[in-house]
Amino acid sequence: MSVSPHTCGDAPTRRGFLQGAGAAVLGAGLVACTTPPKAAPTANPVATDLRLAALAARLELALVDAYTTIVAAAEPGGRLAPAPAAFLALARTAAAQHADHAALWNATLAANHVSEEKSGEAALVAQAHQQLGTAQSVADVAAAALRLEQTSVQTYVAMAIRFADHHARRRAMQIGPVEAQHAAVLGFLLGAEPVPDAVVGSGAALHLPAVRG
Amino acid sequence: MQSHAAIHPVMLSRRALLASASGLACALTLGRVTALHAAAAKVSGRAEAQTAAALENLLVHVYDSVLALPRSVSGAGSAAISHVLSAFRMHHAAHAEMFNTVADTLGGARQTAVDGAMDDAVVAPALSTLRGPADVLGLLTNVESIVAATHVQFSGTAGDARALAALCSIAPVEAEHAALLQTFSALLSAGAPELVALPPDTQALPAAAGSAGFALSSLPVSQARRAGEEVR
Repeated sequence: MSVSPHTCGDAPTRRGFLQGAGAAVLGAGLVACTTPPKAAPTANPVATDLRLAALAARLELALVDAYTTIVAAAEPGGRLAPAPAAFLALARTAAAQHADHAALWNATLAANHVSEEKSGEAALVAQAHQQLGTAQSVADVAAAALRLEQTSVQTYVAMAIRFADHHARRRAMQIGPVEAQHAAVLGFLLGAEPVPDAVVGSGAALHLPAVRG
Repeated sequence: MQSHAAIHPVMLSRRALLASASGLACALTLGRVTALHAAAAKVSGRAEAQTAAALENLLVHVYDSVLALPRSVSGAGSAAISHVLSAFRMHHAAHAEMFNTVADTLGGARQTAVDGAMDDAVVAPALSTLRGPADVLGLLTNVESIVAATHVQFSGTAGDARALAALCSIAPVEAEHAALLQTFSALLSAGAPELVALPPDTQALPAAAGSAGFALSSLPVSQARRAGEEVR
């Protein structure tokens, strides 16, 4: 083996992934090519990770879309106005943070020469449209937002465990807990138990891309 | 999506190794990295699980210490604060047990003591200065945030699936605790302790109550503790 940072076929992609995930330069020179195993594995960790990153981007875009609808309905002049100031502040802040998250995942995709995601995950968009469209009160839209955030948190937990790239996994775990914070404060505003469980499950998580690439 | 050649698992594991201080020191020669990787792979996640358990023990200790304070200091005169102090303490006891189970499974030692390094650096100095509920909420928010950051950081270095599953499913709960405590702090700072209630008077809550719990888009990990620091 060599310690020189020579290139091989998949090195640009691997480096791009790390750059996109905001990884430190630490060790970049040592992430060198090694001889592939004689029996090549059937899984392609990079391709799987990129599918997960794409799903995360679509998940975040669906949440941005939902909060855009929520803010429009709850702000002065909206069909459900007036909304409590705390709820409106939450919705606006969460919308901005989900946009940040989507941008982070799309940057990862772009760094790997994969097309950025432009639309929300269809299943989540449909869920949001159905629940927000029938909402008759601010409490209804808050409850819908809580369910969306819970789905998001659980998806991140399920997803993080599947990331092969440690930096991507850490990135997912820097974002997922923020979604959990949104959910906790939504629960508080709704008068529900804000932190009902000792652990976050994954039963409500979105279906994840196949692990094998 | 592009199709790419598979990355040999050893590369990813090497990156995980590099993420630790010992790994960085040993990464100066690849031969040493390879040798250490082989050794580390047998216990990847064990050190993280043990430290996480010790940190959870410390959180239980912090909540117990706060609950032992006069109610006028702890804030437990408020039913909402009393509820979260008790509920969060129970969560951390459960977390400690989960991490100890993982440590056991990985051949490590169950942790029954608190993480002394963090206790000395963060908790003990602050416990002696608590004068009221705002101080208490501030300390708890800080400790919860540090432990959340540590679990997140460890999720990038632990290789064992059981350790990972525990870290990834528990870190968001610590973050939730911090968010609610921070929300309560914001209400005290706004001079509205009567609004710290479960359920709250949502219409009366100031805007800050809706956003104080999550100031940043990504959970920072700069305050994360070091795996193995509980060993003395």
